[in-house]
Amino acid sequence: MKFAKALKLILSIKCQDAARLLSGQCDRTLSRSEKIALKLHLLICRSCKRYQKQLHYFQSLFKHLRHRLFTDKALPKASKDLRDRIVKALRRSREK
Amino acid sequence: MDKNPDQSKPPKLDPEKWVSQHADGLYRYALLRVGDPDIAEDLVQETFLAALTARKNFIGKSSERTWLIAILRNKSVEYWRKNKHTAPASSAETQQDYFDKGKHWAQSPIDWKSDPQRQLTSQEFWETLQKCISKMGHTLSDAFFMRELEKFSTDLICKHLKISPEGLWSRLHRARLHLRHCLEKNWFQDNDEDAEK
Repeated sequence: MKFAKALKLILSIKCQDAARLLSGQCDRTLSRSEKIALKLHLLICRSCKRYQKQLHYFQSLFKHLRHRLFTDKALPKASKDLRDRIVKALRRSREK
Repeated sequence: MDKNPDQSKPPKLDPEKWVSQHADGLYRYALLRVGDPDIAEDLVQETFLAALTARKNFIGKSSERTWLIAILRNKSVEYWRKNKHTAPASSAETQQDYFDKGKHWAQSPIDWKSDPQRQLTSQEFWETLQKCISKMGHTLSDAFFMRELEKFSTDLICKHLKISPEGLWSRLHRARLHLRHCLEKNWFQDNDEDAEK
């Protein structure tokens, strides 16, 4: 019976399902039949293959972003005005 | 994020040093979440002040940055709650059908030939990314940031947001579909050296 269910998934999977599985793969382990269905679909679907690449792109993008958020000198900065305001407010608060 | 050596007793606070260490990072994070520089500045200021008050509660389990970001996140949620009419919980775009009736892509994804690391140095890209993220609405961006940026586990996020794993995966799926569509439309389609149709 498990085989029939797996076969059904493999034969009926469309882009909308594959996209959901590709996203799911980022956060959980797919079941065996899900993995097979997805793999087969990706063999024949260029669009979903591109979406898979785009998801990898996101992982790379946010990994770099994570590292650079606090250290990069080129990204937008908190204005001097803001910094001064905060330092003043902190000093005032501390004195209370 | 970084892992500071454990600081079990809050050190004597030097406001200028504290601000110089964390203000930029917090500002950028806030900018990505709310999309507006003025609102982002307010949130960062509120975060520092709240952190000052709560400093005794910081027992050093996480790094100081992670702790500050958590406070910033709470401030963002408060902001959205107060501004329900201007900040939609989930953008209209996320209801859009990215797939046609036959369950195929309504618009086939194109090839993004680019280096994410290099792209982050572009001011225009940063602005586009910022717009796209803030358009996704705070319900989706909350989950998305905890997962993709801060790399929290599914369990931890579910506990924090009080949703099921299926609910979380659904949100992340919608966030990713939205973001790829928005970036493709507003960046990759016009930047030939970054894309190939």
